[in-house]
Amino acid sequence: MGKNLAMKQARTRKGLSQEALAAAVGVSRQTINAIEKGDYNPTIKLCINICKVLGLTLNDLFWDTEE
Amino acid sequence: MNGTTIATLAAWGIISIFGIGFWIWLTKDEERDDMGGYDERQLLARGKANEAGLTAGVVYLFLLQLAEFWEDFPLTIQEVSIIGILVMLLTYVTVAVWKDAYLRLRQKEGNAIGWMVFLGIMQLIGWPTLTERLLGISCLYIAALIALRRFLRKREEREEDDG
Repeated sequence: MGKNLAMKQARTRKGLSQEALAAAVGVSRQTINAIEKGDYNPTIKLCINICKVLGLTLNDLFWDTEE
Repeated sequence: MNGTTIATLAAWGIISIFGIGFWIWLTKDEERDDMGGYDERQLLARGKANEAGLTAGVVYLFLLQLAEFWEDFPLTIQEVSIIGILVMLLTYVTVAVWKDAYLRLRQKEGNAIGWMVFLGIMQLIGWPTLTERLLGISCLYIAALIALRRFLRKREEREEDDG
């Protein structure tokens, strides 16, 4: 699983730290870090919550464009 | 009941009080949800930690069978039991701590390291038995593990915030 650069870029564009995003979606900072580094594959529920906070769609953040 | 027994019971009583206090500190902010205050990644990691602990226990029991061929086995039943419990527990704790899955979402590390160091030293004071030494060393190991993981995590977070 590769790094989720889209999510990291979206988060920084919104001016959110990993800690802030984690608090907003109700997970630990380490979980957000793991998702961005590609070390953890979140459930659809968590993906949706992250999309809501960042104001983007699932395709924008979690669609694998490297096919 | 002689004086040594009373003193041993009293020492265990004091250790138990601090152990229970530590457990209360660990669980006081427990979230009333079906995830126990952990997020999904942490639950997954804790499941893997459980698996690792059980596997370690099975391996230990297997190796214990080989001990039947050892004449004059040096350990008592109590010591063998304690070692078995510690093997499983320390394996579980190592995986859980390393994967940052030991603290609930609203929990701070706070005094966890201090508690473990205190409990460890309490066990090692005087001329402890093998069991007490093992428990003491285990507490100090957990304290060192949490401190190391915390140091590495803070460094990682600093690099992430700066980068």
